[in-house]
Amino acid sequence: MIRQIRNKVCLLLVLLASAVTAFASQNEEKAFSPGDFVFGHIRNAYAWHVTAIGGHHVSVPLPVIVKSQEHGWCLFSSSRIPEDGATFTYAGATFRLSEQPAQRGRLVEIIDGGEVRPWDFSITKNVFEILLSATILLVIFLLMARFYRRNPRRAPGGFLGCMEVIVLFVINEVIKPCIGKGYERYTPYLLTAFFFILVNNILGLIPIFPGGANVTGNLAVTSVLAVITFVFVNVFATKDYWKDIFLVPAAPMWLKCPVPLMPLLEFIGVFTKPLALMIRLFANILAGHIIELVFMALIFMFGAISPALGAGVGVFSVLFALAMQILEVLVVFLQAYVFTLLSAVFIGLAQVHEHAEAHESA
Amino acid sequence: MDLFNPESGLVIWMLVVFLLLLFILGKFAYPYITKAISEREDYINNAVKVADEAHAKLEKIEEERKAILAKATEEQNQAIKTVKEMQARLEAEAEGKAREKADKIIAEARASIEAERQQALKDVRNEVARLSVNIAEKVLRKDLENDQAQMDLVNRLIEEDQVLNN
Repeated sequence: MIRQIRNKVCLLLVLLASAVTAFASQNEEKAFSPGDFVFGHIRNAYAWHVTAIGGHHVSVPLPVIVKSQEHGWCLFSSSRIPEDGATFTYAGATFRLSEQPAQRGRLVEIIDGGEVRPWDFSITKNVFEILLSATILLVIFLLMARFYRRNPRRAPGGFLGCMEVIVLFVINEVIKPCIGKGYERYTPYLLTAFFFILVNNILGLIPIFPGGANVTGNLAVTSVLAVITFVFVNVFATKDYWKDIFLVPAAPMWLKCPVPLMPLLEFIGVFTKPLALMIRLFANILAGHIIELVFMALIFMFGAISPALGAGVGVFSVLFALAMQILEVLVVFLQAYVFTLLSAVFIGLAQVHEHAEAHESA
Repeated sequence: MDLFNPESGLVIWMLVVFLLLLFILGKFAYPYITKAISEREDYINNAVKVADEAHAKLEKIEEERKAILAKATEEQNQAIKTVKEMQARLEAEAEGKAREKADKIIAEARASIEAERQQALKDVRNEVARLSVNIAEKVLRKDLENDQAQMDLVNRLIEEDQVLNN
């Protein structure tokens, strides 16, 4: 029985690998570039690329909203943008996808032969995913709230029951012990951050539209989250917290008197904490996406050499990618948990009360 | 590297969407959820407390019931015992009275029988004496035609009387 299943799985993998290889060999007119393949998927994009059938790319077009310096607001479909980086005009303004390293793949306006980045409020792939995840969260939590309003004193079952378990876990195991007294003020932000990261991480694991966008592995997204955490930590910080940072009563005098070494380090720490949050989430999710894509790219790379080799590599690539995907399921929860936990810890650290501390140590 | 260069458009979208999400959820979802959960928690704690109290009360009542039952059983036994004793005493008393009465009746009967017997004896004696006198008269009338016979008779009578009296 088990042997039969194993044989079937092997056969399936070989078929899958050969299908992918056959598909890869169709696009031979353009040499396969693993870098473009991998970074094309993890980069933000104006259109949502789904697949390519016979060299023809199938994409979900998304609205592009840019403010041209000379021609004002422009709103058009992303299907107008040529993929090969050629220039095109809309309402008198000339645009193209930039090739410059710092702005690669972003829309730039051509003014006097130079590239100028316009104000760009396009509903890109990542913006669409953010809107989608926000909608999902709104639906889930408003449904939850409706359930509790309609059924006082009753526990929800099924999916809402599962959500309640997670919400209670975040409140009781993360927020409460890390912040302590007065934690209620921070629960909305920490819960929203946790579930926003979680939903986007999960959507990122789904390889096909409307999933697979690399939202939490994008620096713009994680930086916003980190900045909000920074604001929550420092705006509500107590006077004693600032005293601890600038006076450092625990350090010996020679570390702060002629040269304020410790206060300086503590002050830098105020900024490195959210910075670490930003980098951690970004790097972890980005790495997950890259590893998955590299395993896929391997099939095409070896398939370009010989289809048989591609098929052979494909079996292992699919197996490894599957193992990574299973690991990513864990990472998805772990990173949402870690971001929330550390945010709560930083908020808790800023809630220093000298009297309470003295009382505790006594 | 464009990966390390955040897009301003994405930053603004993210900020706006996230803050809106935070505002809506914070206003219309979390308060209801946390309130309902804490209310439910309180309700369950309270219900458990009440149930415990009710259980304790029930146990107390059960104990009281058992005590009352035991007391009642004891009282019942006591009553039965008393009744039995009373019955026995009454029976004994009644028996004694009846015996007394019977004895009295018997004694009375005996006395009356004795009296009647004495009376009867007296009557018999009187009758016998009268008969004797009559017979003696008749015998005397016949036999005492001569003196000798009279003397014999007197002597014999005296003898007989003496024998009789001895």
